[in-house]
Amino acid sequence: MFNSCKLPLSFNPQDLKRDLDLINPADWVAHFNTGYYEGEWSGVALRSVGGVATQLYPDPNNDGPIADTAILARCPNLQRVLATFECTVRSARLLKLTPGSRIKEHRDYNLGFDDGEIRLHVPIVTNAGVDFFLDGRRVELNEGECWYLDFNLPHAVENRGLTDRIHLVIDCVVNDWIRELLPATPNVTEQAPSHPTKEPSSPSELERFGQFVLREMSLHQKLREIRDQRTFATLCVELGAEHGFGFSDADVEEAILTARQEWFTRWVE
Amino acid sequence: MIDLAQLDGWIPVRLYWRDGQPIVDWCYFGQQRFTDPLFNQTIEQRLRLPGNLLFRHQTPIEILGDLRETQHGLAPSGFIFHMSRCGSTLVSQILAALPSAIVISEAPPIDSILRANLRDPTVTDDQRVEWLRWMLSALARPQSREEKHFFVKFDAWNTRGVPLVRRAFPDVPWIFIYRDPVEVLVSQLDQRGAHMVPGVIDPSVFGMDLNTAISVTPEEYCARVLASILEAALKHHQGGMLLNYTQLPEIIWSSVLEFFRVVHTEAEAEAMHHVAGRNAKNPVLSFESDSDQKRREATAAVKKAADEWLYPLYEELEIQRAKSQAEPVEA
Repeated sequence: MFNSCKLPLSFNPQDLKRDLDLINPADWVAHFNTGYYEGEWSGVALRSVGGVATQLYPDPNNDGPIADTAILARCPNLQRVLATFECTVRSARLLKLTPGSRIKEHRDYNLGFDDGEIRLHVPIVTNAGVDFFLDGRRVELNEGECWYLDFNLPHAVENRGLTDRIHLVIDCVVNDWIRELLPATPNVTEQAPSHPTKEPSSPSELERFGQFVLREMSLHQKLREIRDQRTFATLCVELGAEHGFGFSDADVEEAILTARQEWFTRWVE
Repeated sequence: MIDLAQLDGWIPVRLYWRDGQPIVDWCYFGQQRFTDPLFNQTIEQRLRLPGNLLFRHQTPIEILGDLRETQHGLAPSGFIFHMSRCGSTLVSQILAALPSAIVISEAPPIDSILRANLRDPTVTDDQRVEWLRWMLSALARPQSREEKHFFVKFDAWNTRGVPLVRRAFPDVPWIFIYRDPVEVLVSQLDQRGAHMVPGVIDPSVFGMDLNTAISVTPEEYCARVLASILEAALKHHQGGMLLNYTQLPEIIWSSVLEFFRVVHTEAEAEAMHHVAGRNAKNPVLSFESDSDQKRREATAAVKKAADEWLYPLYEELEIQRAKSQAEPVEA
């Protein structure tokens, strides 16, 4: 699977900015994960569990019904945007990062395509000084665009500009409508490589494959007793391709080296 | 959320913190048993398989609690505390010769829990008690009906954690093994254990501040570390059995097995005796008391440090041991 993808949906940023003006400065709640960022990072919930506008994250203890908040009720353009999504939207928020602020590199969980729930970003306000990095690569997200990004991967944002960066962030349950918007996964038999070493490098694909192996006991069984590193790498690439994960032998060997190093330096914090 | 069945055959090998939360690092073990002198040695062997190295479950610590509910491990049969370099490995290796025993020796995830409150001051004693029970249960899941006994040998500095361990497991018999301080010091200075390098373990664990730790001589640092262990043993030994290195290995047959309520066959007794004949850490060599040799190697600095920091504590321990061995040991 891929790290990022711009969906064939676009929205009028001017309309959305008009709605932003209808939101009170006092409605913006500072983000709960204060260890993660420097500066000001705040949000407003548009759809949340219980329809609570200050609820910026799913409360693990509260599985109540998801509802629109009072703030969304005042914003017709944002409502229209959400209505465009023909899938279950489990949460919708506006997230604001002020000039000079940054969110440190981190990963989220259970937000990759394979997890069945994805996070989409619609930039409403942004500027040329905003740097968004996903898995070490800069991705430019422009106003009005709609992006799928794999937040299971390490990501970071810095607003080096002079104005706020405000995104509409939507968590959606994957369904056929979503699947149709994203590029098709490579057809298995056509893509099966005859020369495993020609697979493009993708460390994140390998990582995803690793998560998959941990869930599939039969796969784990095939791989766990192999002693020889080369044989192991080749089999990983083969089994990976069979299940739609594209990575190279070199990725596997690199991952082994890194894992070994991490194990030996685990005393150092 | 992980399906607990996915953890069948997996062992927790490390506890670490990520974003302020304790996370368990798991390694696939299959049918392997812990027969090496130290936990880490077995883990390192497992991690030589690339699949085991790369594919490791990482779970929040709470999963151990869930696991304990559905798959309770063996209740511990006995705990071994010690001052290091004093024959404790011999004891654990003898027990490991029993096919009916699971023996976990100096496992880092256990140490991490005992010292979790230093890592995160908000961790309460209650929390550590609970985590300890969870972790030991996870490590003690039997692979066969044959496995009935479960022994844990703690790291030397965990002696300071005896009260907490006893709170978590009030009915488990435990022993504390110690040895003549000069002999231990010589062994440590010869081949330093990690905890003897100032700063590897927070010196406050041993009652020292960082400044002191980095300014004293190696002999003094080692002596002070050992002193803090002996002090803890003296303070908390009631209810446990004190053992001097000089009593090994005979006391294992005459007292320890019974104290730990070990049930074994004739053949198993032979296997245990066989191990007793080998050098515990280096099974290729045979076990021989090397007290004389160690004493000969002792420098003036070693003797001075031992006199200043250790002998008074050692002598007091000997008095306590004599007292308790004059009366029947309470099981």
